[in-house]
Amino acid sequence: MAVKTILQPISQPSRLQKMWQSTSIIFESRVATVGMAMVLFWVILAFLSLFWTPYDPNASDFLQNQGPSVQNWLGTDHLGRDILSRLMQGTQVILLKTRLPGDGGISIPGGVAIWGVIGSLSLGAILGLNAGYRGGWWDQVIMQVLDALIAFPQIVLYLVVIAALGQGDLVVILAITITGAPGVARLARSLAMDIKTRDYIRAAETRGESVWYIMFWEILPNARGPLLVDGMLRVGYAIFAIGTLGFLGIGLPPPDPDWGNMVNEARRNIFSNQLAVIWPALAISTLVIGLNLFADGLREEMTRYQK
Amino acid sequence: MARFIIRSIISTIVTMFLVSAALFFLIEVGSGDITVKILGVFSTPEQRASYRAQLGLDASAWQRYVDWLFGNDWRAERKVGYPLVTAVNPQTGEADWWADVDGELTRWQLDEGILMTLIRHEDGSATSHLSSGAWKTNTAGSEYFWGVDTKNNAVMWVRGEGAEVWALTKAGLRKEGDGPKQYIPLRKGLLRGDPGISLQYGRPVAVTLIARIRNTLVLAGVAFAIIMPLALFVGILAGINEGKPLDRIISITSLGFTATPEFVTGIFLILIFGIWLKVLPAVAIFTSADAIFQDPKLLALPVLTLTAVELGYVARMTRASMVEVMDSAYIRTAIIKGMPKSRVVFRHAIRNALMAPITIIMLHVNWLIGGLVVVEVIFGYPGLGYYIYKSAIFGDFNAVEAAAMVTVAIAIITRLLGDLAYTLLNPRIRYS
Amino acid sequence: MKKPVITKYDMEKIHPAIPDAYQKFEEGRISRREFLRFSTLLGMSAAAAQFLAACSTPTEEAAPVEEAAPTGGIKRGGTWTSSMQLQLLDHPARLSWVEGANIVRQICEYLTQTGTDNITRPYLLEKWEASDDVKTWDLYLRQGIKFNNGDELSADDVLFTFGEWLNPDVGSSMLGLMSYLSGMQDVEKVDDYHVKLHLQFGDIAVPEHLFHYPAVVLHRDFEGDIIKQPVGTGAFTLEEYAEGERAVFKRREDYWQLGEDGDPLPYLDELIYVSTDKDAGVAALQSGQVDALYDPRPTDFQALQGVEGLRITPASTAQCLLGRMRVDLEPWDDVRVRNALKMCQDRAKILQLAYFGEGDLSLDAHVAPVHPEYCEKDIPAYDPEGAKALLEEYAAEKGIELPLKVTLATKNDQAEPEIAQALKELAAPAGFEIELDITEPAGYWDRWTEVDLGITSWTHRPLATMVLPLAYTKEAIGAWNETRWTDDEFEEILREAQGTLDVEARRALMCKIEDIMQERGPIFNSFWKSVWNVTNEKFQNIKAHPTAYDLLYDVWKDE
Repeated sequence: MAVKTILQPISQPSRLQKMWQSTSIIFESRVATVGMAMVLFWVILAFLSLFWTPYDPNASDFLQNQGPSVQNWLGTDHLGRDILSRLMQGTQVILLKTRLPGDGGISIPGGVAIWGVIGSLSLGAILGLNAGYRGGWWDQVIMQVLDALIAFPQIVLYLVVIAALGQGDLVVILAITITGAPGVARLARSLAMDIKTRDYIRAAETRGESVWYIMFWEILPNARGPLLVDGMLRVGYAIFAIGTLGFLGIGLPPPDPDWGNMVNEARRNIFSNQLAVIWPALAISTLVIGLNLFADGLREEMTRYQK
Repeated sequence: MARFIIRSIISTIVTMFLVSAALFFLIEVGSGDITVKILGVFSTPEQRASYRAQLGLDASAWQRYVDWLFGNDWRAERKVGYPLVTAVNPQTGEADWWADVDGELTRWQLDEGILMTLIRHEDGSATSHLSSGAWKTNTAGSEYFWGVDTKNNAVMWVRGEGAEVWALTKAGLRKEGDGPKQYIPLRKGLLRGDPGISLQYGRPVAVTLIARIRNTLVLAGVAFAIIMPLALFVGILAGINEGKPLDRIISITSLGFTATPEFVTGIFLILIFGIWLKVLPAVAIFTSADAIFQDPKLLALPVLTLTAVELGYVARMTRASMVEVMDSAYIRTAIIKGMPKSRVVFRHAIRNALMAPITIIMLHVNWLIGGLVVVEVIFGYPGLGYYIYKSAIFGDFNAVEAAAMVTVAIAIITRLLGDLAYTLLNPRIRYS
Repeated sequence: MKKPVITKYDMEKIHPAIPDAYQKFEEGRISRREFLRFSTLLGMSAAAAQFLAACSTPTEEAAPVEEAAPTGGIKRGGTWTSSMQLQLLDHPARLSWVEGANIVRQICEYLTQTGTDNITRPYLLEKWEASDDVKTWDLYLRQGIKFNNGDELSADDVLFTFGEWLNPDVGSSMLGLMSYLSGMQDVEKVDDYHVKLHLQFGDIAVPEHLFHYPAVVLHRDFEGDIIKQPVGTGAFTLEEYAEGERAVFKRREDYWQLGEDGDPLPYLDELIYVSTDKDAGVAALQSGQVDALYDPRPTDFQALQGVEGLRITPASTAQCLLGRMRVDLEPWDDVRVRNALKMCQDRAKILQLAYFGEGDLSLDAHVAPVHPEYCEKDIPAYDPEGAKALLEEYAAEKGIELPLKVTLATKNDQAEPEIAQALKELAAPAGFEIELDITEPAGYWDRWTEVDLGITSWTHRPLATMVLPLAYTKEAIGAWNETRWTDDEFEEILREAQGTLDVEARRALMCKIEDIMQERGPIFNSFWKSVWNVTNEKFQNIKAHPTAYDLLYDVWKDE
């Protein structure tokens, strides 16, 4: 029964149907649907902020530390800036754009959290697949290096990398990549060890395919489900980590607002304006919860299929 | 079993070594000119260069790594020609370096071109004599002398060529005339228990670090003792009632706590309990070194913050594990067989369900350390995490290295314990 | 009771210029504060000067007497706890941070003391006397003062201390400050309690210099580390000092100053400084874990305002966040552009936005109202139209299009980003397009003298004649002259002011100096910062000092 459901889509339906098949999985789980809605909320807000925010997020146009009003829905911060506009703009650096160093102010699409996770997925997959598929000395050496990286407390790694290389979007991406890679690699390794015993890998080996071909064209596509779910969770961790770094004052550099840093700045005025702390905190929490629920739901559904 | 332990230990040593090297070179590559941070932005390039030499930073990175790990007194001994030993300075309680010249502890000092010998007495004081005939002549014909100076460096003086050096004397720069040409800042190396001098505070790292580690262990220990039973209980409760309202409530609450950054929780706990209600100390003010023992209430809010964040995580792990176990064939069989559910749960399920979370927690000690750093920063708690944070921001590499090695050691050792525990609990993987 | 009288003759005996000053004071031409400063400067004891001032009927309302005696009920005992970062510390003469000085000043003391009213009085000195050309200074030491190791304070200790300051090997900032002393040959010991200074050139600021924060008097056997050898004449003794952790002091039994009750000061038993960052310090203060916080930032002031049980005392200062323009670079070499930007300041709005309105509005001259020689002038109004006219004239001449694009560099430190942000908005209607280049403090200090347009923080100095030579003279180019601005007329007047003891005469000179700076100077400044002393209201006699000095020897705690 289970075998049938897996095999069926491979042979017959169109690409569109295939896509629907894989997305419809989401709607079968209520948890995943709720999670996706929360994530989508922020993604839509992020895209919206590219074209429109209620006010200029960096302009001090209003009275300082005001509560919510018709004019400023979420109130204003300690410099008289509109919190809603800043919150919306804050999604960009996380999800939509990465600012390259230099004077040009050039950004590339894809936020810091996204690139960080793509980085750790790529690096982790390469290391994990090599370790898992090749085994032997490759496995020993790679696992030893990964053990060292895992033993490294993440926050210390962040602090050292940022203290060493300075603040910047790319540095944060690098830090997320390095701290995330070992986990991904472990997962990829165990998946590879499992998959390499399958018949179609034997077949490929008999055909005389190269090791890299087998790893990336035979094993990886069959391991992508769990890896993607893991990646989703990691986006959540990354947003959390960016928030923490921002709070410690060593996160994403200005001028773009950064949620963690918004908390840090608002903290000094918490006695007069608690909401200014709560909004960015809520933003971080809801986005992280959304990603968590989404990933949990997906995983549940996928394991259900496999049973 | 023995093989497993030996392999683990070897792997641990290799890991520590890798981490230390990675950390050293990472700081090396990036941290830029540490002397700017120490001497301030108004210092001149000459002052910085002079100070770099005194810190031994003009040596190659590789050389400094070896020095840092194994010490450099053995290297300096060959230059000086006498054994180098340490003796505790009774005034500061810190160890000073001396050369052992035929049983007399000796240092040297160049005062207006004249070389003076300082001989140490039993009580720690020293008398100074004119030092005669000590100069040696090198191939180029100039006279030089290798000795130990009063600042714990092995140094080379060249006669008549006193370099003008800028010495940092704790509160500012001073210009000194009779500067040595070359410095080896003496140290025993980490492996011999000497992590060096903190660049930020000018005291031995070890002195500060030990107190900090103690404070952190107390904080983490108390938090751990509260989190673990609570989280396991809540997680099991949710796991048994999978899908029921109780499970939903527990799951959503714990997810909410986990997803709330500790810095937000901490800030609000300070605001509510410390400032509005004034029932608990808002931050960790240590009016004496043993403040946490005299006033344990200082621990309340930091512990509460850690609990809020970590509790949800562990509870979720436990719940997942419990659900899996409850779903497994042998439990279902037991229930179908007609065993009372409570007995099944307590006799069989819990034992098996706990295995996974306990090992996962052991694996995640470094994750807990991350939470500690943030919590210690918010509460100004003088622990290891705050120390790492301050040192990393400053670029105080001796301090960061030592503190990070401690955290790595803690992470590795707990993981080793976790592995061992898991192996003992689960015979299936014992020989794999 | 016989009313004590100080006659003109008595005054003349102290210094011939005092009767003159007294007359001016009586006529209301100089303020009470100026008279006090002037007469104490010439060696009159503070008590006598205050007495004189109180006897007269000046037109100006008398300012409250500084360090007002508490109204009885003094209590002894208690611990005072403060939150302040503790860093490295060894030779006091080499101090480069006020936090360290606050530690040292509990153990050691100064020859003089500049009060919270910006008047300098003798302290370890009985009195001082200056010659008319202010080139010879006689310092008379109080007798019977004991160090905490039992030795008596004498001229030898003062000479030793001067030796440390003037020794280039020590590296004290006193050396540069006292450039009028060419070496120890200019410091003469007359007898055990009398030291004579022979200045190479006259300077009126000697008493102020003697209270510069590294200037504590050291014991003659001092070897270079105050933590290992905490010997001084101060009211407390050092029990523990751990960098980054805490400092603990205990009361000294045989301190030389007596309290109101006739027993030796201090009233407090113990002082504890805990090293925390400011955010933790604010929370600790609010929850009552500490009694004071070192140098609160404006946001801390906001947070602590209205908190029950705390007393906030503001102090006006000459600290500022100064906008400065490089006059050797385009477009700032043109005085019209400089003046246009100056006109773009809505000073009250900037003060409100950047400092919550806590400060004094300023002219575009580096002379503050707290400086005794300050010459009062109207605060310029916000005038974007006027600025626009100037800019259009400039643009037409140069053949360029408005808006004029400029980059404003500063550091993300105190309130600089807020000022920059506000200025950017305020200057837009005048035709400036300001781009902001805000870096971390270290990044700005790397280039503070080099940027075209920047905002630099300047600290408090008691006299305008102490600060102006640092940044607006030819000699200062290559050092602290960050704007490269020089002006012959300005320098001439400034030199005259430096040798003018008479406050009123000096003020007349300052009027010209302020005019020159406003008219063609290189700086703009919207406000002078206030600082706040925030202390638990249980503590009495707390002094809010403009440079955040903790003066605790006569503080007492009322439980």
